[in-house]
Amino acid sequence: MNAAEISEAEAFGAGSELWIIKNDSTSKWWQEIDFRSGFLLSHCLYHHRKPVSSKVNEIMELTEFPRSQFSPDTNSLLIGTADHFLNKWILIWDHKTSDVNEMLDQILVSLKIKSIRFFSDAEPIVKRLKSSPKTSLTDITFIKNT
Amino acid sequence: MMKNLTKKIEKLFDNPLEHKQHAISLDELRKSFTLADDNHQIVNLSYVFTQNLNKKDTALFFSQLSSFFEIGFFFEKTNSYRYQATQMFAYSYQLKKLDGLPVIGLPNSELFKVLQTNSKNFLAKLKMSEYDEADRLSSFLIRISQNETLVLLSSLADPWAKVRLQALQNSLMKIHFE
Repeated sequence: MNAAEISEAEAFGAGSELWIIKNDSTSKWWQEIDFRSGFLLSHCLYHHRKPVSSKVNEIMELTEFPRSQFSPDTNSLLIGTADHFLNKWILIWDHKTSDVNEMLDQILVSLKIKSIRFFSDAEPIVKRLKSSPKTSLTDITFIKNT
Repeated sequence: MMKNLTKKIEKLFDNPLEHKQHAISLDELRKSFTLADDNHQIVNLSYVFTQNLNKKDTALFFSQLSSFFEIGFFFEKTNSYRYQATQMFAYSYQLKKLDGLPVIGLPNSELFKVLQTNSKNFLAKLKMSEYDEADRLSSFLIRISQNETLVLLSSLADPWAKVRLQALQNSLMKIHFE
């Protein structure tokens, strides 16, 4: 597995299928990714699911209509960004690195991701990835001064 | 309940032409607007604004860009990364009352670096989607000082927009914003 540092000018270039960034709306990279993607991050993160109205609930109960189970809220979010950047996905993680580890375990295999790029300091995540026998990663890149 | 509903509907028809008049005027502005095609005039701005620009001069400089871009916003920082539009032009027309525009988050990128984004989403963020209903503009952000950022919208295709923005970058680098 190759781990390389790239310059800030190369940050938005091709070469990594998955970009990983900490959810910190004051960080330079978070703001830049948000703006360049047409405010995709803010739309996804600050979107509040509308609660089902009491009337609809009432009708569902009366008709015994089966309720859909939505996935529970997690502290990481995966967004498809192939239309916005030269990548396929962006994974945003919040506070605890254990959240992103859990998510990475699931998606690296299922989405067959071979290369990732970190937009925020994530040393513990990288250490774990390097020592994990399960990962099929070939390339990890970091951006200087993050 | 029916009475209330009727009242509300009647209110909508109080001045049926009001909304349409605004729509027509924006459409007329759009149709009468011709984009200046000489990029040298943008470069020449740096020879006109040679001294340190104060707030008034910066406003004048910004208004000069209205011939080269369809829409332009001048944003001033309100806190670490939130910005408020304080000046705006659309199809050469200077808009004055901008108090109602929402404060939005913009990147604190390097000075004079150009960032591009989708105009539809950008205008929607400012609740001004009607200014580009046909979705034919591209938005470009350029930070000109620690607290001031320009967002310019252009209908030029990417290769021509790039040349225009390079001319603007060259000009901006020679101007001293206070």
